[in-house]
Amino acid sequence: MAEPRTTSEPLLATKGLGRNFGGLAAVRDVTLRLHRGELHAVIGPNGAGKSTLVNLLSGHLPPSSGTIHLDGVDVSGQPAWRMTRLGIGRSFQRTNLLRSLTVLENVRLAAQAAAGLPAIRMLRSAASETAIIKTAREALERVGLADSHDRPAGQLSHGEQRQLEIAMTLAARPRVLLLDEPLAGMGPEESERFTILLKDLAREHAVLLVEHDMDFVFAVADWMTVMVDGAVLAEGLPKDVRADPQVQRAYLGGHA
Amino acid sequence: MLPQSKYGWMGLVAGALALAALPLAVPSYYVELGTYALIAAMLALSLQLLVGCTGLVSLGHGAFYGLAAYTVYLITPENQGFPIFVTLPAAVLAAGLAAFVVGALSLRTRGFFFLMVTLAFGQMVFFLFHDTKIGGGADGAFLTRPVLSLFGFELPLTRRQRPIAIYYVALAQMVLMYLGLVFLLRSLFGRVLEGIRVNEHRVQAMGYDTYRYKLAAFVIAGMLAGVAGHMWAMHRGFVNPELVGWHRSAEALLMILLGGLNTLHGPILGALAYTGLEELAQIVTERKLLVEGLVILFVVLALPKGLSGLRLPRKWPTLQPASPKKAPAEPAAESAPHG
Amino acid sequence: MDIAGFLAQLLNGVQYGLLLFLIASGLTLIFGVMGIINLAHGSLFMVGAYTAFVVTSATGSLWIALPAGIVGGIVLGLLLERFLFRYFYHREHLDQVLLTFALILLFEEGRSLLVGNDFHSVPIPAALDFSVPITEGFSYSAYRFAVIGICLLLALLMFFWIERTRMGALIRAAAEKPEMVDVLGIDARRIHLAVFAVGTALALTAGVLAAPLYSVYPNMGDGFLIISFVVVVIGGLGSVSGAFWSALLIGLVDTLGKAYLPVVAGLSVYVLMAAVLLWRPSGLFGPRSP
Repeated sequence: MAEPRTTSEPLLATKGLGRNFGGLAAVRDVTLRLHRGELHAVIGPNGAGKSTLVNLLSGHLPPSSGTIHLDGVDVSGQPAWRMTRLGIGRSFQRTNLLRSLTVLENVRLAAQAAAGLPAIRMLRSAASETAIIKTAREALERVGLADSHDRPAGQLSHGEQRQLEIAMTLAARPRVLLLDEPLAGMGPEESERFTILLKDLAREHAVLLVEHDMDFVFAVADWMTVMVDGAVLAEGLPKDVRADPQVQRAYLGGHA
Repeated sequence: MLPQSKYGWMGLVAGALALAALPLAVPSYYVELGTYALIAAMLALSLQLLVGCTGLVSLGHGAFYGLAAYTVYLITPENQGFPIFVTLPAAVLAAGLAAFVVGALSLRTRGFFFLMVTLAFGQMVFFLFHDTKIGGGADGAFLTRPVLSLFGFELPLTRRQRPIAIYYVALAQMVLMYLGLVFLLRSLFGRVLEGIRVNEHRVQAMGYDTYRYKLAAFVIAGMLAGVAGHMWAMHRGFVNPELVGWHRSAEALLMILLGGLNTLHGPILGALAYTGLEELAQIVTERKLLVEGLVILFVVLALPKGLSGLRLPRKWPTLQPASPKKAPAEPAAESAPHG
Repeated sequence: MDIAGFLAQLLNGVQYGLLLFLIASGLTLIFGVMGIINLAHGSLFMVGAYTAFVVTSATGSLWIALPAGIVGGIVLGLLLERFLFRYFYHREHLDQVLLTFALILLFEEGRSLLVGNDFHSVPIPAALDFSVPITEGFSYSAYRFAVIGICLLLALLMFFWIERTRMGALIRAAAEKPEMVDVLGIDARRIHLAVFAVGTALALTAGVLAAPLYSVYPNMGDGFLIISFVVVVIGGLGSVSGAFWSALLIGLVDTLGKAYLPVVAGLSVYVLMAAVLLWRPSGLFGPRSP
């Protein structure tokens, strides 16, 4: 049994969360907690339900059962756009950018959404809303894409596109970050840069990370949840999870 | 959507001046033809807000256009025209309300569904006027044209001057509509619409309730179609269910495609070109539908970017972005509407 | 309440609905499998009706017109797919809409050139030109019964084809996951041809059957086309069974509406569509989300 890792209230908590597709339970009875300042990794074999979990937490899929609470408030079943507004930011596993728009515009739109402007303000020219543009530029700086700001997003290299994904998620000033396989397709240099960024982000946000790269996960995670067949198999500190014989059998194989 | 260089803007201004000069140069018949072209241009522009800017392909847009014209008929007493500053707001309001109701329901769907649902709603309006006596039934009705007056002072116009005055009213409305759309596209609201066109799913994930944005665009587009419809009532003085029919909506789509999906001035070009083509074709044959069908086939098969995609010869400044720093040709799947 | 009259309207509604099903099933299959929006589908119905007129005028028999319509439909469908629609599978909706709209115009002009613009009636085949007594006080047109029977037969054949044959399984798979069709390679070509041929043949057949009941006239396809779209919207895209039930529903609502609430008449179908959209945006039987 895992030791309690913090006495503070979780920022994001699920209770008995489940999702069915037809007769198939992709996610079953998942109860987990996410705290601010914590980098919480979710690992498991393919088909374990990790991506479905992310979709449930971000509002892209409504749950079939169970609840999701953000800062004590029940947000189960809210649509994706409302979840983002409430502070749950999410990056996509397969790049999902506005390819024909510039890098800056991608992030600016994300920042604009978070600004929560009243309707009448929306008629103001986009170029004149300098505060929003500033937020966008800052997000680009943070991920190291400031120089590419006026290139079309579709022209970026794969790794740069992943960075843009993160920038867009950050520009919305989320409290919770859901990162679905952010490293996929990144080269070693980009991965290193990203690891530093991630550790930095984990300090101010609650970060949920789904990843396959075990070395990376064990290096950065503060807390781990292992999912198999849609349910939680084990959770705890990375070193404890690594040593857990059940987990070794089900997933880690030769990694321990 | 908007001209990328100052040459582009100069080109547009030159075009507007040429249009303004038209009545001075040609006989009255062509001035009236020009007004029809401008009305078509306004209808196409209003639809472009949906199709080219937001990625919503609607086949029911003609309904708001026709509804506005019918509103003028319905509120105007038989022997006396109302002033334009009464009829225009009434027509635009009616169109906008209808657009709100239709949009609220249709925008719950996407793509093919949206197309068919807007078509069906358009037909509903068609049947409303075709099967009932409200607007004179299938045969339509003549109306008393709105009067060009301001605070009771009516512009004294001779028989010969009237068509020219109407033309300038239409031209002024079209130019204002274009400028209004420029303003809208540059605004925060307009940027979200562009994002929706490019990748609605992602824009939702950013935190936008895209349904509300699309609905707003739908209502604005409907009201602008109402401006065009009101102008039709002013010019033609006659309404019939054809105005509301889906063939009219399809023609508006054609004008957009003909002029260019990717620019805001494209629909204007398309409307002018289409009206001119129809006129020319009449000289050759009476078979209007045949000409129309062949024109559409040609445009769809041979001119994927429409007229504004045609490149001018190297020597002249082009309306396309020339600088290599700007965005290169977009992948077709991204820039075209996805509905 | 006039029971006989009501029963007659009920049967009329079923008959109308079944004709709608023939048209809508082609429409929903063609979109479900190939993603093509075919606005010209109503024109195919018109071609069928005019075929009935031409063949009946020449030979005096609707019985010859029926196979002529079916065979003609298959041939026309194959030609259209092979030489036109094949190139439009990956084009934008807007292009497809305009292309098929152009086809409508060209079909209309073609008809105008070949047969003229007059309104024509087509006689009911003599063998069926009587009323079948059902109960005392109520009898119903034998021809309409025949139409119902033929449509139901065709519906059964369709279900058998889609649910029980290999090609049908491929079609169902393609309708659910269109990306799969690219993987299928040469089979994809055959599926496309088959779907188009069947869809077109059904529309033409509906036209042939409808000709004695509704007469033939320019633009007759329009009304049936748009209602067929409503059938597809309510029934769900790509779902043939959805199209079946929703066609019956619409046939009944429209016919009974026109008979008993003439004020509402043509609008009732659209009100129904609006109600369905409020409740279930992807149709009553739709597997695909909008």
